[in-house]
Amino acid sequence: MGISERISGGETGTNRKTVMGLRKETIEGILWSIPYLAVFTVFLVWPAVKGLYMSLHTYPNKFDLTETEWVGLQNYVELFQDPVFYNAMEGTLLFVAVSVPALVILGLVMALGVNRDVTGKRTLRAIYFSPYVLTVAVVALVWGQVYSQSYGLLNYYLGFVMENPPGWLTSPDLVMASLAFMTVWWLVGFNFVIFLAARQSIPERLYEAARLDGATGWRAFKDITLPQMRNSVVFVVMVQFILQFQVFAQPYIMTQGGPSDSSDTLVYYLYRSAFSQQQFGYGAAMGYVLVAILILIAIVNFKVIGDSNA
Amino acid sequence: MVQKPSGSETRRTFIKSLGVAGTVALAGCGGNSGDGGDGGSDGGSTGDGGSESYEITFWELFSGGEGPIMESIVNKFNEEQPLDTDAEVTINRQRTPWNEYYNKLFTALSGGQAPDMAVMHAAYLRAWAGGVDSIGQYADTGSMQSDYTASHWDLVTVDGNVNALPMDMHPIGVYYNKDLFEQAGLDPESPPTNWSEFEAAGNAVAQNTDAAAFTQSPYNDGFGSFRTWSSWVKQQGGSLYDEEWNPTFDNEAGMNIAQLFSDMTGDMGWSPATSEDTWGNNAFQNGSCAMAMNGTWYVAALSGVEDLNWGFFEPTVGPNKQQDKVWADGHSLVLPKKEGRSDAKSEIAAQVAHWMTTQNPSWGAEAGHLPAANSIYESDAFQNSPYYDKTLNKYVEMAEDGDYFYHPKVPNGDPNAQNWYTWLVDIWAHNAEPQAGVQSGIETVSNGISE
Repeated sequence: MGISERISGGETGTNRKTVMGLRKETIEGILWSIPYLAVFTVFLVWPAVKGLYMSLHTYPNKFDLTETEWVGLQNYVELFQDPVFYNAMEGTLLFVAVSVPALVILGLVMALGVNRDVTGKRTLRAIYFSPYVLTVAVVALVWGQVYSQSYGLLNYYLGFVMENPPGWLTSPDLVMASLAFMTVWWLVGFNFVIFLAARQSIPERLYEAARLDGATGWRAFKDITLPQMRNSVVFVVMVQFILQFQVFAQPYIMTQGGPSDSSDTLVYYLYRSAFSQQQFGYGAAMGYVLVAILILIAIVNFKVIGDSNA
Repeated sequence: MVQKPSGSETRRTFIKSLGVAGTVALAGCGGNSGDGGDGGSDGGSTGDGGSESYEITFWELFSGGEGPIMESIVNKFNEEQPLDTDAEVTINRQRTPWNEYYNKLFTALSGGQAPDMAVMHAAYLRAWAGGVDSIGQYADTGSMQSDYTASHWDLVTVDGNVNALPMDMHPIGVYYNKDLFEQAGLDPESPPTNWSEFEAAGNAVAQNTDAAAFTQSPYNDGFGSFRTWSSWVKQQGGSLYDEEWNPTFDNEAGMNIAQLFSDMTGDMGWSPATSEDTWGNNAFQNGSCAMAMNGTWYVAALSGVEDLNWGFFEPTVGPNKQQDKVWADGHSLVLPKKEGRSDAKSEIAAQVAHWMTTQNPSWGAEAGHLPAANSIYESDAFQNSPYYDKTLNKYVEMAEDGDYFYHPKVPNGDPNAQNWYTWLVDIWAHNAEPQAGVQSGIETVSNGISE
């Protein structure tokens, strides 16, 4: 049965036609899926398989990738003995630890704030979302000017209240937090929109009933808002973990991993290994370790906040 | 030293004619074969008049003041069709930003999608030897050699092989602000010529003006810092690598200059201890830094800065100098390996590379580099360059004195990788102690070469 027939209440399920043992709607489903599956296979499945193959090989002639040498798990063994990898891991974890909670909590607060009956909330919605439409290169260039120690906007104003404003991108202690702050400004609009849509889909009658029972404020938020928005929260947390673990362009454009390698990240190191040092096998191994970490985080995420009985 | 033309014009013309005739013959064979020839699959095709046409894809990395000059050279070629051949040859120029250039070129090479001709720093010629065709396969390099200065030919010769044609040499020097020198009580027309004068000048600027005295690299980058540091290390007689390409720069000279970097932004008070990438360039151009070490290319940027009264002096002013040594590298043109490119097209590409490296007076006169071709040194364009008296004559003088040493042509890794040298910025910015910084550099470079 076709989609249009189903919508218009056509044939009943007991009278379906079959072709080679398959129901017509099954065949339609497969046909509709083929374009996506083709793209999925070419751009995800095949690179994943090829990446696994590469991570188990080295390339003796870096200019001819048809020459390969099987090395088994050697790339992985070397990776776990590599201090640069651990430094990049530390940088990535720090970036994720600062950016993901801020992206989620701030997005939620902004959504709940705009959901209230405040003046100019349409304008606020546009303002909150607008940074998200910028490309990372634009964001990095603009914030590079803002953060500049000697000529930056931020330190210009800080100069009125303190003698030596810090180097936001030149201090090893501050650089990752600075990149994370910039990233929150850039991406929080996406989370804001998801949370706002989720909040607006919660029936008001639930809050009315809660009010009758004397539950308002924090109690209503904890017992109604959060549980009702759980799927959105799980989605946003998952997406942000995946995105922020792959942080690359910010250190690549703004700091090149410095100062003192303090803003190095896993994907930036992966990129350098594969394309600057021409070690495709090593880079591929790093990619697979990153995938393993993300799968682990996804499992933990679902266990902790995704359990519907929680 | 930069050698003058050795004069075998007749022989060169003869060999060039042979080469062109051979190329045309080969091209003709391809065109007459009835199958479109090899050129059909790689850009060569037969025009309406029966002559071949070739599109030579050319990748380069020039921006700032150099970009428009390279563009004008390519446009001139495409308009004038200067090759002595019936084939129509056009250059399809594609520019990639410098910091992405080699990664993109490497990816293209390993993926079989390389351009026909590409700019390559001489420093890459050993590590990338497996990715480029020998020029000698497609041109008579024996006869071409006399077209170039001996220093430039030496620059592109690796283990006795010539896999590139030299385009220029771009050493470094010290650019200084004459107005700040005057404010500091110095004679702006008598810049420093040795360490004691350099030290006195820096101290005078630091004490008598509000400006910083010196930046080791206007972009505060690792690679730029390496140019300055390695020049002064070599001036003290220190080595950078041994014969097995193990880094040796943790020697006494290396440590001395690392300590000097730290002192310049510390006790000496010459410059703020910052790793901010834009600081030095902004400061020099807006008149708040008196001296900046940078390469030949800086003239193109400085020429556009109004009210900046600048001069130039040789960077042979390192402390405890044993010899005059100055870092230099050069651009060259290579023919990247490309499966399916016909011999005829490769020969045309070699001719194009020869033309671009020998018939480009604007590259020296306007971009400020030391041209590779002997003939250009005697050209009016070069001699009348607005930069000739300011920088070029001093760069030529250093070449004639044999002062230059070349950026190490390491056998593996990325010799221009910023992360190989960021430890120098860490020392400059006081994010690392000199000893720890140098040791970190030894580890980074060792790993980069051995991988």
